[in-house]
Amino acid sequence: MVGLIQKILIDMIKDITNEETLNEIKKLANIPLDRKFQINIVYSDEEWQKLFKAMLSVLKITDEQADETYAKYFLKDSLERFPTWFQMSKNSYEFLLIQPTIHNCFATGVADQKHRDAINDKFKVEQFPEKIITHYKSSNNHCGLYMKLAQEVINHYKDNAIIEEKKCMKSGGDECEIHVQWSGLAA
Amino acid sequence: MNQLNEYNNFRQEIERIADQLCLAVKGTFDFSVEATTSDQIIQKLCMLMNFTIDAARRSLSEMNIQNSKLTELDKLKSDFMANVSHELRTPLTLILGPLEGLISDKDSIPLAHQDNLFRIHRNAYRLYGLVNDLLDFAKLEAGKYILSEEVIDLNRHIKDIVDDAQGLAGERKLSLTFTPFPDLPLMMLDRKIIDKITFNLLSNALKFTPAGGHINVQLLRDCDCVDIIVTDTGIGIPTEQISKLFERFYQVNSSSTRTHEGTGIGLAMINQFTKLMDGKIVVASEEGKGSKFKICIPFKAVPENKKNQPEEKYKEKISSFKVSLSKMEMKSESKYTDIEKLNIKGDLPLILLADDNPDVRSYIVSLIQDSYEIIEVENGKLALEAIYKFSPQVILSDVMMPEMNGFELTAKIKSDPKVKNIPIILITAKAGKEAVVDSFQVGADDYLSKPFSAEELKARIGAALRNRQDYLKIEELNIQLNKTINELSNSKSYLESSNKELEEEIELRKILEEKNSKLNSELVIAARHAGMADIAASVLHNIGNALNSVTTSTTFIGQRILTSKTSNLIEISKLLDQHESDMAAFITNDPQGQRIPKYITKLAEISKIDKEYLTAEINNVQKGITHIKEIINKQNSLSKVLGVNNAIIVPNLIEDALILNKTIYSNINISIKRDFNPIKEVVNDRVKLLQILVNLIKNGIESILEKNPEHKEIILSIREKNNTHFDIQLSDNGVGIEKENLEKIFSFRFTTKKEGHGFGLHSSAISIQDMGGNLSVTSDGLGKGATFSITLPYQPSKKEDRKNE
Ligand code: HEM
Repeated sequence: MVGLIQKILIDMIKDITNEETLNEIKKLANIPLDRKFQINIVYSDEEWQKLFKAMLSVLKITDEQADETYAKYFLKDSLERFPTWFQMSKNSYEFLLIQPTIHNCFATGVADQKHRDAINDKFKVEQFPEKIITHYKSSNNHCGLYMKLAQEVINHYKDNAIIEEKKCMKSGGDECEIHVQWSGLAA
Repeated sequence: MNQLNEYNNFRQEIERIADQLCLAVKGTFDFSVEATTSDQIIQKLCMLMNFTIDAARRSLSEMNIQNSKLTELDKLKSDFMANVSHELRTPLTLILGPLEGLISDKDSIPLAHQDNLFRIHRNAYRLYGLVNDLLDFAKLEAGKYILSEEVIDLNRHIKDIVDDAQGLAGERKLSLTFTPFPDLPLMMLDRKIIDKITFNLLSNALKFTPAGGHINVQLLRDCDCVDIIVTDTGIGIPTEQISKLFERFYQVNSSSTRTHEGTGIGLAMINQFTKLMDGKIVVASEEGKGSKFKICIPFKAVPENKKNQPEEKYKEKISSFKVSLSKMEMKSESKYTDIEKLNIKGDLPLILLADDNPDVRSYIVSLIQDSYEIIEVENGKLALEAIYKFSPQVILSDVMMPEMNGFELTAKIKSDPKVKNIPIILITAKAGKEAVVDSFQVGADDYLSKPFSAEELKARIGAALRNRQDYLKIEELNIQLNKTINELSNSKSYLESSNKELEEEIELRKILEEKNSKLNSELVIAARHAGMADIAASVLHNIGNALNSVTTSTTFIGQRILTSKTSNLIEISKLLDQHESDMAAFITNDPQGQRIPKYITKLAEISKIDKEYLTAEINNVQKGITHIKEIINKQNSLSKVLGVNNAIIVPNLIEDALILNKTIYSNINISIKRDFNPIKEVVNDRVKLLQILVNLIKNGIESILEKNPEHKEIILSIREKNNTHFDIQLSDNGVGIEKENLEKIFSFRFTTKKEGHGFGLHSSAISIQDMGGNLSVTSDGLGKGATFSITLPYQPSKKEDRKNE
């Protein structure tokens, strides 16, 4: 997992709790306390999964609560960090269409082809008028996070859309299939 | 201090990134930028730089894949070109050899075949030259052309080539000179290449230099090089196109508008040949002033061991080269003339033929000269001039021509109402759908794809000519109608002064006039677009009848208005004006005044009669116009839409048909007898039946006029035949029909009349069959009148019904 994700999660934990709780979580996840995550470097997926789980258990929150909080925090951060990508799109439909390309952008700096493909292959978007279908495949199982992030993007642009997961890896599917249907998109 | 450190670290990090980016100059983009730093901005920068590098890498690899595919295709194409050219040379040689044998003894060839044989010979050679060029070009492209050098006296060699071209230059009224370089030593050169280069440059100069111009070929030597310089005072080359001149297949004008024939490989080939000899080309040109091509070839001295060898004989090669130069000569025996001097007087239909290739022109002329008078021109511009001067009946034009191409010519003709009705047939090198689309898109009336057969050419010209003649007939009718309308318009102001009621009639007439002129244009369009000549002819036939009756009625109206007594009203009103002050005394005491009240009463009566008469005539006009409209609608939809069935009151329909024929019989004393018996209700195609009745009545009247008996009579009858069918009969006491013609009378194009087309009865018979009935004729022979019988069902058959659903 590209370090940006861990970095923002750690910032968030520190923000909503304190240094002590953060260290507790890091310890539980076996992450050295002085570890600094670089936003353009890939770190192990297992380590990330442990970090996320540790957060759930220490903060005593559900997956859904964690996704929601993180999505909010992540979007706020990204808006400041990468404002151009948000300005480039005139609505949430356009933004979600380029979301896989944004992700692939992080993959290009990764020297190892296998790791690069792993990032590139996570998202595929099918485009329809006022609708997209995202095919998501990853051992990190973050379809919940996808839906919360998508909702945040929709809210940011003040659009109207319904998000539905029609297929999920957690219930035995070969991939997750998330449908986003807009209504009344401004041209 | 800490801040300074941070700043220095930051700078170092940026420098490291910059150093990594230096790899980009390799142009392969197979690297990525790495930075181990805690600075998030630098991390972001690295990530985005990597994205950009990756994008460049991906497009590069896509481009490489595309390139290798293209190179492969290019190679395939070159191989293919070489193979095809090679294969073509064998049959061409087998054509040319025997042909040369044949024409070497001109006197032994029958006169009728001489032109054709020489034309074949010229063009076969032309093809041979083109094939050879293609073959050389393919070899050059594939890098397979091997230089074969020999000892050459270049001064003498170039002089020979220039001498060969003198004849052609003279014919084109160009002066051609050669300036040798004195004491140029013998040198080693590939003779074939020198021939090709000089020939191509010279033939371009000959092609692009207008009459009166000058061409000079010069040889120069500076220390290491020999220059062949060809200078002309021709049309020149636009500056922006000079750099593209040597691209393969490039022509200064794009293919559809280009003005000269050629494959577009000539200069590309010169370029390749020059490179092969390690030489270079320099071009200088100014539009409208001329061009200068300089080929610099490295001087290669003759090695010692070859110095004593005599110059190789090349007589044979030169002679074939001579022929290839003569490919442009294509002298034509056909009579292309200066338009100003042309004088057309023949009785045959006039065709304008525009083609820049004299051989094609003379070939076409040889095919059609027996049936047509032909004006020949060599480009679109001259064609346009000739069209205005001679108004040809049909235009036959090539697409690719100098000055103005066939498409431009078509556009010009079709946008000028004065000439747009002259049919134009485009001759195109394209075939199939492409030819159809291109030709019709520009507005041509028809097209011919090369190669075309003599029969096809004749058939297309024939069809176009028929369309033109039909159009002219409609025009004539139009003029007649407009004349009548004008007469009516002139009397309009007269009528206005009479009384208000008459004014209303005029309003009505105005509307009718508008309808008329609208219908006129509809009818012209309908006839033009009807396409098939017989449909167009049938439209004309029917409309001719209806227009005649409209014309008669409008003439009557005009006459009536002119002679109307109501004009006297003006006189009366003038009198009354004069006596405005003593009106009562004037009317009671003055003898003139005493007559006025009586006179006004009388005028009112006359005016009433006038009005009734005019109303009746205007109704006739209205009927005529409605009929024209019905015919146009009918004919427009002839091929697609089937008739509409409605209830018909047969006696009324016969009366309508009589009215529509009124022109012909109103001035002749023909007695029309009606024997109308009651029949059941009839449902069928009313318009179709009306048309048929109009045709039959017209036929009857015409045949009576032809015999011109003392007592002229037509008897029309309606009677029941049986439960399901009824008969309409029309008997005349006209010329009658010979027994042997009775059967043929309904066949297409058969007519006994002097001026008849022979489609009236044919289409009537077909129409009746369509309506489920049958048309027959009886006659006791010539001079004994004829009876036409229509048998029709009361109700259309099931099939007819279904058509209408
Ligand atoms: C500017 C906005 C965004 C940025 C910079 C961004 C960046 C990233 C990065 C760097 C990763 C780690 C990728 C990896 O290592 O595989 C990631 C993962 C993810 N992102 Fe985004 N993202 C953005 C917007 C979004 C949006 C709008 C969504 C959802 C609609 C989304 C959904 C996800 C999910 C579900 C993952 C986890 C993928 C996995 O590992 O399974 N992201 N994002």
